[in-house]
This record gives sequence, C-alpha cells and structure tokens, in this order.
Amino acid sequence: MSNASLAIYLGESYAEIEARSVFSGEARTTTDSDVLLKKTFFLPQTSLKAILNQHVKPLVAEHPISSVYIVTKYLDRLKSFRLGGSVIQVLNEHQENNYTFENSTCLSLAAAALIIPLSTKFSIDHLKTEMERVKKVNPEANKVVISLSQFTEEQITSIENFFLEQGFSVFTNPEPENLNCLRKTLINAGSEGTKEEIVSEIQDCLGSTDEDESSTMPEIHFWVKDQFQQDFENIDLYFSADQFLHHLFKNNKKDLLIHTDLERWIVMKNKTSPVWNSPWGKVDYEHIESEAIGIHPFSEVKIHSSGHLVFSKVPAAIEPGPMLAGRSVKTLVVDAFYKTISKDDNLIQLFPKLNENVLCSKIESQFKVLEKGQAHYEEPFDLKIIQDFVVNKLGYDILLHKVKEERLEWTGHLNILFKKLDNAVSPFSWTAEIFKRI
Amino acid sequence: MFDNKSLQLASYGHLDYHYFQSFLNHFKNASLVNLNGDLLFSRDTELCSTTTSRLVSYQIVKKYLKLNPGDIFITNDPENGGYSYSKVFFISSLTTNLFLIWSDDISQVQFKIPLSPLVEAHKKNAMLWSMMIEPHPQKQSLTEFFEAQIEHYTSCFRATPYLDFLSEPDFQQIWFKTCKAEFDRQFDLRAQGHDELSLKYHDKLLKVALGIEEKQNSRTINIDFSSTQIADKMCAASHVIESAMIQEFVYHYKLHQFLSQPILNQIKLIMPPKSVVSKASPTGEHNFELQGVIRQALKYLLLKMNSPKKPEKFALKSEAQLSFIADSDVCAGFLLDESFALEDLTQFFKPTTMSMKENNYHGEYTVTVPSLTLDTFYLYSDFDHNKRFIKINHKSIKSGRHQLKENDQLSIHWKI
Repeated sequence: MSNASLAIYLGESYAEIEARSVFSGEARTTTDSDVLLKKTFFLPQTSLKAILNQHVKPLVAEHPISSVYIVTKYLDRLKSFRLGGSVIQVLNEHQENNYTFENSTCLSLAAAALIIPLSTKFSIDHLKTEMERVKKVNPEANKVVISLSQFTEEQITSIENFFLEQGFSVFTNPEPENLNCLRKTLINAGSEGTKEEIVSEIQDCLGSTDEDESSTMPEIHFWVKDQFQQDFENIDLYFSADQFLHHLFKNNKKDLLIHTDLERWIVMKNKTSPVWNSPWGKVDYEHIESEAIGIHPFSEVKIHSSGHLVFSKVPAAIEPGPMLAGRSVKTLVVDAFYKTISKDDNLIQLFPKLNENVLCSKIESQFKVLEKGQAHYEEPFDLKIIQDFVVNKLGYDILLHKVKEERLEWTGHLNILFKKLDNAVSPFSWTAEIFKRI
Repeated sequence: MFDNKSLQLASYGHLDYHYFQSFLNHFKNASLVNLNGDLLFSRDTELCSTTTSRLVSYQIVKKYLKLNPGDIFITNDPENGGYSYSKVFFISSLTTNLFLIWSDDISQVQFKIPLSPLVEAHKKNAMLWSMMIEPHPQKQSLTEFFEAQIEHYTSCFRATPYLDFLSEPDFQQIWFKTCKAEFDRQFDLRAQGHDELSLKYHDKLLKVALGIEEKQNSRTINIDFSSTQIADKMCAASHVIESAMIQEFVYHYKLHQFLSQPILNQIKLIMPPKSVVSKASPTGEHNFELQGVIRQALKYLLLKMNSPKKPEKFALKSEAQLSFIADSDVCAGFLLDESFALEDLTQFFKPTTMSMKENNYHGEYTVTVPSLTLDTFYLYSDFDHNKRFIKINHKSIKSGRHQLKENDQLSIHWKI
C-alpha cells in the first residue's frame, strides 16, 4: 500500500483529475506506471462529487490520498450572479448599500433586507432583536460581514463573538471606510459556500475513519498566487487558474502566453493590475492581467434576423454546453471543430459521445442548416469558411500582441485546432503541469 | 512556431467588423479613416461622444500639417475639434491610407494643448515632453497616460500584415458596401415619417424636426434645428452636437459595428448658426449638457415614431458629470437617468451618510482637505429637481466650477 496525491483542475465547465503514487525517499523520475488514474469530465453531465466517488474512491483502499492539489476556475460560475443571498451585513447607520455608489450597474453583492445598521451605542439585546428580524427574511443566513468604523476593538470583538456563538462564519472588513475593501470582504463572504462545497465533497469522499474512530483527511491545497496553499482568502480562488498559467509561462521564460482552452481563449503577458474590475465593482486585488482573443469558443453560431451568420456576443451557458457534449441544440464555435476534436485522445474523453456517428452527423447537418439559412450571399458561409474565420481571427489577434515568435508559450486543450498557426503546439494537461509544481 | 504567413488575409463580409473591433480594442473612443477622410470604423464606448469631433480633428491636421506613418499629433482645444481640456485627441497615421484618431480622458490636464506633435517618426517630441509634462506637478500621471497611448498606437502599428490588409482600397470598398447594405436593412426594419419636438431649456426654444424617409431608393435621415434659438450664451461646436446625434441613431438602428462613411452620408443635419450650435466655448463648458438635451430629445422622437403606443409627454431628465480635484488627486462621477457612478470620495471627504435605498442614492459629505475644486457639468431639469440635486452647504448648485474648503458640506441626492 502506498499513498497517493491527487491533482484536480476544476474548471467552470470541465474537470481533469490525475492520481499518482507518492514515493518517499530519494527523488525519482515519474513514469507512466506512477499514474494511477487520469481522466477528464464535462461537468454539466456529472459533478465533482460523482467523479470522486466513482473514480477516485475505489483507489483509496490501496492508495490513501494524502494530499489534493487543485487549480480552479470553478468560481467563475458565480460571476454572472448576485452574491450574498445568505450574508448578513452589520454596518454603521446611514451607510446602507454604500458599496453600490461606485457603479449602480454592477451586480449586487449583498441582500438589502439582511442589513443590520448599528450605532456605537448599540447593545447586544438590540443585536438579538435585529438578528431575529433578518432570520425571518432568510432563515438560511449563516455568514456575516462586519464593516464598522468608529467602533472600539472591544465592541467589534463582542459583535464577532455574538455571531460566532450563533454558528456564523464571520468576515470582518479591516478598512470599513474603504469601499474597495468592503467589496472584497463581501466577495469573500459570498463565495464561502462554493469553496466549502468543493472542500466538503473532497473530504467526504477521500477522508477515512480508522477503527479507533479518528478520521484522516487529505490535505487540500489550492493554487494561490505562485504556489499551492492551504490558507487563503476566497477571492484568491477567482485567479487560481490565471496565476497558475502565469507561473507556467514565466518559469519557461516566455513573454506571452496564448491559452486556447475549452472555456476561453486568452492572451496573457507578464503584467499585473492592482485593482480587479469585478462584476460586482472594483476591488483592491493585485492580479495577473489576461485579455480575451479570437471568437469565444462558446459563442453561439446563429443566423441573425438580418439573414447574416453571426457569433453571439455573449457566450452560451456551460449547461448544456456545446453540441459536442451531446445534449445541446445550440451550435457553438467549438462545435465547428468536431472532426479534429473527435480524433484527439484527450478531448474524446471529454466528449465521448463524439465516438457515435449519430452525433457527428447531427452536428454536420446543423451547420448545413446554418449554411442554407443565410440570406444576401451568393456563397454562404459553410463549415470550412467558419473554421477558417475562427482560426484566422485568432491569428490576427495574436499579431496585435506580437512578440518574437520564440518567446511565445501556447497552452490549453484546444491548441490543436490552431496547428495551422503554430505547428509546434503540443498536447496540454493541467494535471501534468500541477504535478511538476508539487 | 507562430507563423504570420499562414494567415489568410481575406474579407469575410459582414464578419469583418470583428477585425476592426480587435484592432481598436484598447481604445475607448477611436476612428479609422482612409486618406480621403472617409470613416472606416468607429468605436464609441462613452457617454460624452466624440464621433464627429475625431473626424474634424483629423481634417484639421490633414489640412494644415503633414501626417506620416509613425507620427501622432495631440490636441484638446474645444475651439478646434476638441471637447474639453481633460479629453485629449490623438491623430495618427498608420499607413499612407489608414489613419487612427482617438480620444481619452485625463483629469489632470486642465490647460489648453494646441495641435502639437507628440511623436514624430516613432520618436517622442522632446520639446513637447519637456514643456508640457516635465514641469507639471502631476508629471507621473501625465507620463503614464501619454506613454500608455503611445503603446496602444505602437501595438497597432506593429501588426504589419493586418495593417496592409485594412489599408487596401479594394478591401475598404467591400467594407463600405457591406456597411451600406446593413444600413439599408436596418432602415427598412423601422418606421419612417416626420415628427418634431419643442421644449424650453434655460428659457430658450429648442425645436427638433426629424424626418426619416425613402425616396427613389435613397434612404435618408434628416434632423432640422432651424427654429431653435438656444445658442446664445449656451453654445457648442457643431461636431459636438453631431457626435451625440449620430450615436443616438447608431443605437436606435443597431449599427455600432458598421458605423462608417456610407452611413454618415445618409444622415443630413440642418443646424443654422445660432440655432443649436454656434462658436464653440473656449473650455467646452456646455458640451455635456447640450449633448444630453439633444440625445434625450432624439431618443424620444425615435421611440415615438417606432412605438405602437403614444409615449408619455417628453420630460427632460437631469444628468450630471462631476470632477473633484485636489492637488494631484482627481475623482469623477456620472449621475444619469438610469445609472449612478461616483468614485470613492473618502480621500477628500468624510461621508456622514452614504446610503442607497430603493434606488435613492443619498450622500452627505464633509470636506476634509484644505481646498477642493468641484467641476460640474449639469443638465438641470425642473421635472425631477426634487428627486435629483447636488448641494454645497445646503444650496443647490448648477453647471460650473465650485471651490470648497475644509468642513464644507456636500449633499448628493439622486433617484435612478
């Protein structure tokens, strides 16, 4: 029996997992025989919990998982939603929803009905009454953001203790008068549930209980900034994948990273920004910058009311995803490359239904429908022209960020689609890169 | 290895707008024009529109100066194609048949920049740099701003095969044809007819007559301000008003990706002197509110013409643009009909109230710095003055420059 480590890339729409044996003693080169498991999954058709139970749990008896290393983009799922539905805010009187002053068009970060305004003359009895009021609004509320200026440390501690005793997760804003800092604290609180969901699913599946009823849990490390860490703020997880990619190309001494993954096509330079323009407003958070290039792989290919073939500005939802996954009726950009994808050993794991001729025929006929539906052109755009346009557009966008060719790194599972632009692209694996950095 | 040569440089018809969008991605407001001055593509992302102003700036440079690839000229002169001191225009050449003009904001610039070369043959103009930037108290902010602009230009200039492709007259003609076809399609999908709107602004009559018609296969949009008498003390240059109107049309006809010369040619504006336009004011102080009035009036007329139901009677809505300036620090705000955006003011004020309830934004602030300037561009309307107001020491303010000192009170109330 030997211990194992588990590497997980948990994306917005897909997951890649790999388990490897851990050898103590002298360092040795990893060989194929060390790999206990390596798989990719399209998430709308399964869940992390199901993946772990079905594929990893059977390994645990023989190879207990001692450590889990995660790179994630999963929290991007929250970016189109209001946050804070179960977050109580304790604020100074007359400061209700002050975080919205910067830009009223940003998404909401907290529920207005869950605000408890306090003056410095508050009492714990008053807090209890307010608590009863907000609990009637949302009995599920279990997190609190405390952002109070001009309160003494003792007062803030007493408020924190009050909520801790009620079983709340407490998030205290260290700079109550700084709205960027308040938004950061609210994001940390609003994202807590999603992080907890990931952590608890791993612990539930991979934890073990001994005969003496003492439980053993694997250590869970997330990629944060430039290393795997166990202590971090939830906001760090929004940048886990970006920071990982940055580390990857910086270590390889490259100037520019092109990342063409299933979820996004981006360019990344070695450049940071001190402020994050989040969907919920500005936040002081230094992060690596990236920029979308090309057409989004999940853009819908459709016929506009004017009779033109167009790509939707807003990408389609990850559920049900592209036609490649077998359930969607919408045609997405990535579907145009179904032939190349079906011939790739890694990608066919992600979309196993592509092995069926029925699905390939369905996608092909869908593009025929789009071709016939176009008006105004003697030569409508067929599948080949769409593919050419998508590849050329990405090429043009790379040109605008041009550096010396030898200083360019190209990653992502879909880099094989762009061999015409760069014939040196090689297969990419998140988990292989993770194991290089453990 | 990434290989430029494998790129197929070809037109994809209406999808070509993706190329222009990528090309101008780093610019908030920018135009590409050819040697004739014909607009190829326009990117406009801000409320204070400079669509036509950019074209006027280009024409001034073309007429009086020699513009070669590698050159960038700048100006912010509201009396010569500009908008306000804080909005700097950049006029550049990419190839002999492709010119890039853009504008960007820098609040620290509160002085006039006459048309001057910022970059000549890819080299910074040392004299301009030493006179304008080096002695400025906010030298670092200015340096960062101008260097970022030069970098944006350079990234466009470097994309050689792409540039050559966009500069080709054949490609440009195909693109113009595509844009005109798209205009015709969108025009045909919407109502035609004549309508007019009269309103009083600052006790002066503003009369807008809108005519949208197709005659002998020619589709035209006419806007006539002949009966307007607003331009007296309130004045703006014609390109400022035109910019606002064109953006309203573009929005209505959903032509953002196709705004180019063939579409501009279909819009006829009649703005006699002293009507809605006049000689530009030296600082552009009325540009924001006049653009706002025209935008709202035109939006109403287009809505009325296309709506099956008669819309409510026209009422002008208040809008305000605020700039707080103290030493080298600047904060800005836009208070509009449907949105509220105010940067963090805590570096200048102590907020005693800052709450938003049911879309009512209410802020009470006490000045904490010895001296503070508030520049306000305010489209003031009697219609909503109870729901929207800005007060200094309990007195309502309007457009203009206001000086505040320590412990002065600022109140903002804005219902969206």
